[in-house]
Amino acid sequence: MSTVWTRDWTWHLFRSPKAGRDPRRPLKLGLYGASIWIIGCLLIAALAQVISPYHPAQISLDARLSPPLLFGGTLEHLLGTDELGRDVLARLIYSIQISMLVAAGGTFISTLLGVSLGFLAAELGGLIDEGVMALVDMQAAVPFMMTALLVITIFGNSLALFVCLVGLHGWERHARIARGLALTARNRLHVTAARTYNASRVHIYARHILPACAPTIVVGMTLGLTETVLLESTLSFLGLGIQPPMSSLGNMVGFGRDYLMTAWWIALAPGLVIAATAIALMTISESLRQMRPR
Amino acid sequence: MTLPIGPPRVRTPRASSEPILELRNIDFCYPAARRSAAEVLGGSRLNKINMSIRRGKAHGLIGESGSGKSTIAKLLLGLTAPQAGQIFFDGELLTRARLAAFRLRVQPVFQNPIDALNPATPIGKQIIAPLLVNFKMKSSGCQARLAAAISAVGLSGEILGKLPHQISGGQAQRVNIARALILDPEVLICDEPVSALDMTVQAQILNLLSDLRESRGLSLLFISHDIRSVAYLCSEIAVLKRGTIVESGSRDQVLLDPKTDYMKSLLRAVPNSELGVEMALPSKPCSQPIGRRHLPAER
Amino acid sequence: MRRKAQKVFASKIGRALVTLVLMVTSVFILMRCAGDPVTVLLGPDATADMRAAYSGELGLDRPILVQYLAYLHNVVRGSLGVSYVYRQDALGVVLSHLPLTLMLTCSALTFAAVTGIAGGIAAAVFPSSFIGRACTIASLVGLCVPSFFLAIVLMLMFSIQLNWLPTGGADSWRSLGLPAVTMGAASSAVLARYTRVAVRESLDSRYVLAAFARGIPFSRILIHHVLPNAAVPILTILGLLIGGAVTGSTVVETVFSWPGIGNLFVTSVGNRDIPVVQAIVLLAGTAMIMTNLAVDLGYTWVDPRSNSSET
Repeated sequence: MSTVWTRDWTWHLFRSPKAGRDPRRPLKLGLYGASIWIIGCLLIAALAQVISPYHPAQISLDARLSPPLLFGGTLEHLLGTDELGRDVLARLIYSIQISMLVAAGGTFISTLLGVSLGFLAAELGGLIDEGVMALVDMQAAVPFMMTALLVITIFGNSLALFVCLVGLHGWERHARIARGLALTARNRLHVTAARTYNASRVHIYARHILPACAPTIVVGMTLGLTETVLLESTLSFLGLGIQPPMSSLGNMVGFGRDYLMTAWWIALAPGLVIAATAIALMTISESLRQMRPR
Repeated sequence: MTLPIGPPRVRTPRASSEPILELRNIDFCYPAARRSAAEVLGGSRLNKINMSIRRGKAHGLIGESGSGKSTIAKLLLGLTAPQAGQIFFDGELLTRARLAAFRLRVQPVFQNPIDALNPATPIGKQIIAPLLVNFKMKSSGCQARLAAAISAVGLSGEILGKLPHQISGGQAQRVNIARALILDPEVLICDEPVSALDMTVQAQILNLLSDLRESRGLSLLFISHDIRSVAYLCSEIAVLKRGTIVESGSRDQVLLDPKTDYMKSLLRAVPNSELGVEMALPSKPCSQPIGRRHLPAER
Repeated sequence: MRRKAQKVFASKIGRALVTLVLMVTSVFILMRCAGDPVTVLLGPDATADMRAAYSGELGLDRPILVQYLAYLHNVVRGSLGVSYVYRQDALGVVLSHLPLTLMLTCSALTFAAVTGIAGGIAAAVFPSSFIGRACTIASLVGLCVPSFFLAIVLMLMFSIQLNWLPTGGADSWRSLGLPAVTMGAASSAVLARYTRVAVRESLDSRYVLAAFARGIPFSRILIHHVLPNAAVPILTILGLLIGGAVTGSTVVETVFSWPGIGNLFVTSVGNRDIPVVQAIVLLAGTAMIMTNLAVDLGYTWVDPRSNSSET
């Protein structure tokens, strides 16, 4: 899936002027909705400990499997409870926090790694460039899920390993794009001018090349965030990601699957949150991409 | 590296017989993918270039597109190295070890003023960037020099907070000159500095360069394809054709008594100018005809 | 010109081979990190004779480079260890699950091709109408909604509430329905998007305008002018989707208990059945690289302009 997105996104990246003929108005509305949702999720993630009505692991066997409010439930458990009587809304809030943290951390690591390697390849050229590009090709050719699961099989799935794995997802796309942008930016006149007053390579990359690449990299990061959220939730759903007692959104859907017939809300609520978050992030990255500066 | 303090010193031109910057027997070729293509095109090579720039003088380099003018500029700025030959600065051979110090004393002015500026940084920061990079000063310590540089090029302080896309081409070129001056260099290499500007602005910049040369004792290398501006500004002229210097000498020698057909055809191609008038009267002496304006080249 | 095309072909094949070797090498390195190779590949309760024979085969007493070559040799031969769970040759286990996955993938891609291309054309030809907008939104949703969630929602709606289709297993043709639709949904969304853009571009081009002006009926324009130009990117994507089939099937097969390779993959990871996992990774990786190469070469052949520039 990620490779398809890669081609999709990079293709659109280089063709946007003509492709942006879609009706703009629905997009604006969608953009506002998407931003509000994402900001809401971030707020929830930040304030989880404060706003959650219950502790997520608080068991109350009397109220097992009670439905959400509008389907015959009570005000005490707005989204119902799960098989151990734990409040679904509380678990949802804490899951959002963990999923957001893992996704943001993973995206940050992957962008940092990818951009650094891309810049390194662009600047040093030669064998290093070939080597980095070969790694990029290899990473792009093999679906990430495969290698991730192989690593999990061999090394188990501690939280640290999982975050590293999530951080390794998508670096090749950032590397390719950063390298391409750096190669173009290096030939600009202001970079040549900077060399004539003894600017060091670090200074040139930090002050001249990075600001030129930043808009595109940011768009890439939002797309990477979408993919990371989906990757983390998929792996957790399969039981191979975030392990209990920590609950993530994918985790909840996975456990709720067993109760689909009787207590469908356990799986549906976190699933809807994942879908909405992914759609929101995708919308934001689409509109960022169409907003190319100057 | 000591930082010169105080107002820029006025250098009285020393014995003008010692060139400050010199190219000897320079050969250069861009690494082309296929050598045969490069040879056929011919334009990206330099053959046996000998050139010198004397202190306090403005030297002109005329050539058409593809003759190798910008390559010479790159060599003189230390941005690329020649395949054969040497570059001498102030009597010493230019080596990689001396490159950093060399660059403090030889500064460029490029052709595209706005492209030569970083689109993301305010003008003030860009002008003092050479000081920050070379001397590890804080930006607060550079304010005096910044003000001096700005006033030397005729700009006011309100441009300091703007971004490059908010200023005009002429202003941008002045900013570039200010940035070049802030290190207090001895030589300015100007690669087609006015070609991308409007006619009136061209004259302003040319006059600015000339005034700076006089007031600070700068040596100028003025590269252009436009004979008129070279004739206006420079006292020595060299002509570059497809990688070789075909003619060089003082302004009057080259313009009034060209030796090669190439130069003659270049002069004929200039429409309706004083140069043409001078060509038509070869027997007149080269000193000022009556009633003509005093050109900067002749000061 | 021909020589240049041949050079481009050769370089692409070369790059694919390099990628393949790199992939196998990384798997080798990972496997070596897993511990003693004999135990890893044979399982904890292998007999002493088997161990001795395998050690000889793997060349464990010789330098690492020789072991690496022995590993490569084994990979090419297909000897990838013995599954702990099934007590059979790992590759054999994987291949026995292959037909079901292929069946699922083919139906999913057929569904995706039909709905995606039709939806894309509709969205391109009638951009402001209800159908057009609906298709655009549907393709956005199809891209972003995770397949496991879609699977659960579909299962909820059609299996549990409406009871039209079974929830799992591979008993009958009816059980193919939900998994195929789920798996095809994401691909359908991607296809719809590409098709929309490609058809839109074609429709905006000058010769189509000229054809309009000459009074050629729109259906003819669509079939004879627009679709052939849109065909190339569409075929590219189809190729990529085929290559990515194994990954896509992982989640869907797990949710619907469809006993294919994806299901095998997940259960083996859970069981720490390393030989089977290794076999699947190598197989899927190779399939993906080969498919990419085929699409790349096909692209070169169809569109000669792509020969001149090299990124």
